[in-house]
Amino acid sequence: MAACICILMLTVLLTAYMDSVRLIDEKADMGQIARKYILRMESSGMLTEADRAELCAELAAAGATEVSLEGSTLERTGYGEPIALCIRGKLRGIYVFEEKRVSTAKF
Amino acid sequence: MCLKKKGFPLQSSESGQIGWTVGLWLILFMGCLLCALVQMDAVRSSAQYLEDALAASNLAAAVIDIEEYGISHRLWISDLQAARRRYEEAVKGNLGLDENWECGNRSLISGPVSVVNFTVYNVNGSLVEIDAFDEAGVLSHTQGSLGQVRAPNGVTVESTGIYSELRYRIKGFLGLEIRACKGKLADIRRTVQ
Repeated sequence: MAACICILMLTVLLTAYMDSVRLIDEKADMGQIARKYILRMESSGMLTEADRAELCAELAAAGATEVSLEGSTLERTGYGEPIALCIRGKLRGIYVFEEKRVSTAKF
Repeated sequence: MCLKKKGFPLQSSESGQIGWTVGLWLILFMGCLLCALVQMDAVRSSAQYLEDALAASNLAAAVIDIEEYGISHRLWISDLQAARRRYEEAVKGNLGLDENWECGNRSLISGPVSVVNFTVYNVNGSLVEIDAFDEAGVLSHTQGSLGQVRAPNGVTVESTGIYSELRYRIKGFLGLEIRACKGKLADIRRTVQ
């Protein structure tokens, strides 16, 4: 009886652990996607329409929902001007995440 | 017979108690171990995040003088104060820091983040002009030979670039706080198309 309850509790612990690790990895993936697109923005001076569509598709493929790009630089800026990429959304439909990257246009 | 009747329930109870004690200790041990592993994973992930933020902020500050580039094709960061200002704004944005240079949620980075070193390396032929801001923001100027100059993290400077170093505190397992430092060199290279 004691062994069964202990095994059950250990299973719960391991499941919770694996879930947490997966969530951390998913959040890290969001960071990598944001990094990729801020580098693209540096050379174009803005988040272009094509990049926006591609970014949303990549975020959706990585498991993000309710994605918002509010606060991102969507209009072309001059050389040396600040640019920003703000991604807000939810992971697994529950956990709210926010990725913000700031740089300067090299366009 | 009488002894057996008295002894048997006692033996059964001891065996059950041992089972529970061992099981609970195992669960407790595993719980602590998994918590520590999750914490380590979070620290590793945040270290990667910090490194990315540092590299992105260095690149944000590395705005070359385009007039100079147009004249001599030289990659030159002429406005050092503007570079540092751009860097500070970028670090704040990339790490989500407030006006006091503190992280909003304080879940991992606790306390203020400070820029310990901000150095601009301008390469002019075989000469490297080194302009370094210390923690107090005091600027110092030195020179070195290309190939001989190394950034504080040991990387050889090969072209115009920026090295920066941040100091911060990490909140660890059981609320333990650790002081950490991270430095990164980002250089600018011309690509021929």
